[in-house]
Amino acid sequence: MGTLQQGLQSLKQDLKNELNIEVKDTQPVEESIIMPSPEQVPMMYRAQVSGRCSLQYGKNQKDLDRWTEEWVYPNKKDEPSYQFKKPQLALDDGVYRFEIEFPWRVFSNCGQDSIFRPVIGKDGIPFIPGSGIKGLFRRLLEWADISDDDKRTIQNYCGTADKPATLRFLRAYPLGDWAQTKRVTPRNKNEEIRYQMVDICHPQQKKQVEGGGRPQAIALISFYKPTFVFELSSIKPLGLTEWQHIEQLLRKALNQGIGGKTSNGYGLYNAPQDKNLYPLAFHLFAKGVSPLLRNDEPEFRPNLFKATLRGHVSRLLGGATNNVDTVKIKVNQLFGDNSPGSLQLYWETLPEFLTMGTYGRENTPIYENQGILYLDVKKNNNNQDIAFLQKVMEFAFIMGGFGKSWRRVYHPDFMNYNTRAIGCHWWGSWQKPDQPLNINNPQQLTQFLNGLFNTCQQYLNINNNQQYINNWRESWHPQNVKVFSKVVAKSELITLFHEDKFKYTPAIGGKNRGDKRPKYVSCVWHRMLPIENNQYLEIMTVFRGDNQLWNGQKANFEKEITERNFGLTWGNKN
Amino acid sequence: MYQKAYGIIETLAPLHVGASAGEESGNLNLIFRDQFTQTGIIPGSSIRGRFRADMRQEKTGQVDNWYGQEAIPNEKDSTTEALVKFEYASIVWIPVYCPNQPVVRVSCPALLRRYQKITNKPMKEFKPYSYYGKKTSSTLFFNLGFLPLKKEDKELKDYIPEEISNRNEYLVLIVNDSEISMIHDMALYRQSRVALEANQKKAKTGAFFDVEALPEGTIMTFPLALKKDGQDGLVQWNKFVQDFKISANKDMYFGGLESIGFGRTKVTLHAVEEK
Repeated sequence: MGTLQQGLQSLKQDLKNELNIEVKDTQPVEESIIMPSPEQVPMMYRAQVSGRCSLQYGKNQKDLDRWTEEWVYPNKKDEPSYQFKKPQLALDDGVYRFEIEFPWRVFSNCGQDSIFRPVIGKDGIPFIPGSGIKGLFRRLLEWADISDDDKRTIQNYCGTADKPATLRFLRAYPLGDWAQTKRVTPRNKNEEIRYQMVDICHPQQKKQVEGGGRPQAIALISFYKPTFVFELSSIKPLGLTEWQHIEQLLRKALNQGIGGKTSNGYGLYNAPQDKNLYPLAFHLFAKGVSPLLRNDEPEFRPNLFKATLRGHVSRLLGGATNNVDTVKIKVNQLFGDNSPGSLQLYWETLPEFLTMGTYGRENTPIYENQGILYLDVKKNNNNQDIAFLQKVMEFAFIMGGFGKSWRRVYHPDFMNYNTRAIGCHWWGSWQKPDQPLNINNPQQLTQFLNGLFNTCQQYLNINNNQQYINNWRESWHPQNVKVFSKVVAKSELITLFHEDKFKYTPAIGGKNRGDKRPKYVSCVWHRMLPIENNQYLEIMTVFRGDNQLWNGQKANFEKEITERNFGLTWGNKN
Repeated sequence: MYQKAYGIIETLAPLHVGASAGEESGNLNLIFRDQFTQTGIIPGSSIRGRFRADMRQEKTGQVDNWYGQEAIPNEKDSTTEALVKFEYASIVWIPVYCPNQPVVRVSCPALLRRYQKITNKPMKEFKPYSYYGKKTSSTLFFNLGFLPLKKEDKELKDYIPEEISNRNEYLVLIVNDSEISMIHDMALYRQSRVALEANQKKAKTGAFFDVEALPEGTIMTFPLALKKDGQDGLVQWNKFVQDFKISANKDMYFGGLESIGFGRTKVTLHAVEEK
């Protein structure tokens, strides 16, 4: 550096002496751009690589937490700094507004990031663009119960290639705290801020039904119980009555759910008004261990129904044929794969029935809930699908439960066990009086399961084929599973799970000695099915499973069951 | 010769004036940009078209008077010159959203000089990295790096048009002319759009495109001029305002994708007092 400086000095001197040119020292250029520390760059502007920003790295969600907090840009109350305030509703200065409160989550995706998230608008506030709302509105043209008059008007509102639209679908935006800030005090920790818009997608069918596969907990962003203001305006001035009619039509269109994941109950704001639209309905009561979000925040998630049913359909059909493709095609038709499935599901929590709490020394988050589950099969709306799903629903109800820890009975109810809550317990009634669920003893259960096995084969157009997918862990075939049952007043088998020799058998307890949390999916289901006279049908379902996982305990376990006078209700003896 | 005036446009929704879906075979529909600063503009023709259409809707019968009479077939000299002239609208302030910092309204000397000329405000030097408003830190992040906030310039207050909403809520910042285009691109609203099948929520094959737009809260300005002498004598600014039925301000829609909520703005007009 010294040499360069000296060289420049001597060049200056030469120029001055020989050519009489004076070279002035220039001022250093003002640095406008500060050398940044890479650590200060917001997460939204970082590459999605390990060490920079990895929103989907489940074990350590620091990046996700920081990404969320930076986006929210919290104020002193830890709510978003920028929020929309409630505007004047109805017609105001050419803009018509109405609001809708959603009972659960609303998911929309902008298609632009490494994480599913809504469009970000003014001041970082997410919203739903008018394009999606217009698309949904236009769909009314496909509805059977819309009058021709209305269809013509809708066409006018939406426009055609030759004629511009007269309505403007401005947008829908959330009022107030769109991140859904919640203050929690985790055990042995200080108060923390959680943003409930951070949602989770947790596919585990492969792991639970087929065996193998890694659990994934994919983060996504969805509005949690938002109140949205929908805004419209028109090219021509419209009267209030016409606006009210438009609102009615749009509300009707919104009945099919706005945004994505609607078959799971996302984006639906209203219990189906027309019960005939949903041929199946079940009134259910439940308590159990609560599902958790990525940040360990408990939430009763209605999408647990679809997940449970999807798993059961795979199991049942995997026992009826050995053709994996046939099973997958059917499952995907019903529940969706790359394209939407035909099943539509809506869980309506009855007012004030959802309570959340904790249980045991470990403060396991638990819920109690009551509601109605509506089911329909939209596409090929034929009775075969409906009848089949009715049976699957009965199977799910009789044999286990729904959602997290569904393979186990609810410990707080059936055992004196104060460490933590385990399992779930479901009871309820079938809405259709002509199809009551008459399972009160082991014989009726045998009958039901035989009938179900035939229904599955018929559903696949198979006649008495005894082949099944024998490398799936839970194919529902008599060679692969044994069902034991007995009418009891209180649980006679629950203590088995807590005996030392069974507790650490992976096929039963799901873990090896020394494991803190279950490592394997258990091969045993245990259910206390409520029956008449305040009794229960205690049902123990045992899958053949991997010999290694059983640690030689399978025969012992079954022996303990039969010694307590439980009869083999379904499945082959050996 | 001319009575000078100007308009202020505040966008209330994303604003897209540029190529539309049918005109490009690609699937990114860009907005029109000014060639020097590379920031979004609304061409004078778009502004004139909208003003003219709105006046036609008001049915005051004055459209031909203000915008010029179209030729009548077989009639000589039937056209007349418009009395009102429009120029393109350029950005005065563009709000930039960046996570982890307050929303900042940004401009550059070139854009502010145009605003100064249009409004006939006193001459002023706009220094890069001067700001006005309450700052929470001494640097801000934009996608080209970290920028310093140097000196507060209280005169910048006069360069925030009075009629815009939340006028003093945001920090305003001047950056270099060479930097504005990058920061502007970071601020643009972008939306991927996809058409779905009529009967199920599944994307139609190939029906997918992206659109960019100026974000909500962008402040723009455009000059307009009235000929002083019309055929029927002196042209008066008040008469134009009256015929256009604009009182304090007016909701107007510019650009494309209007039916899905783009292009809504609030426009105010001002006569320029000659000095």
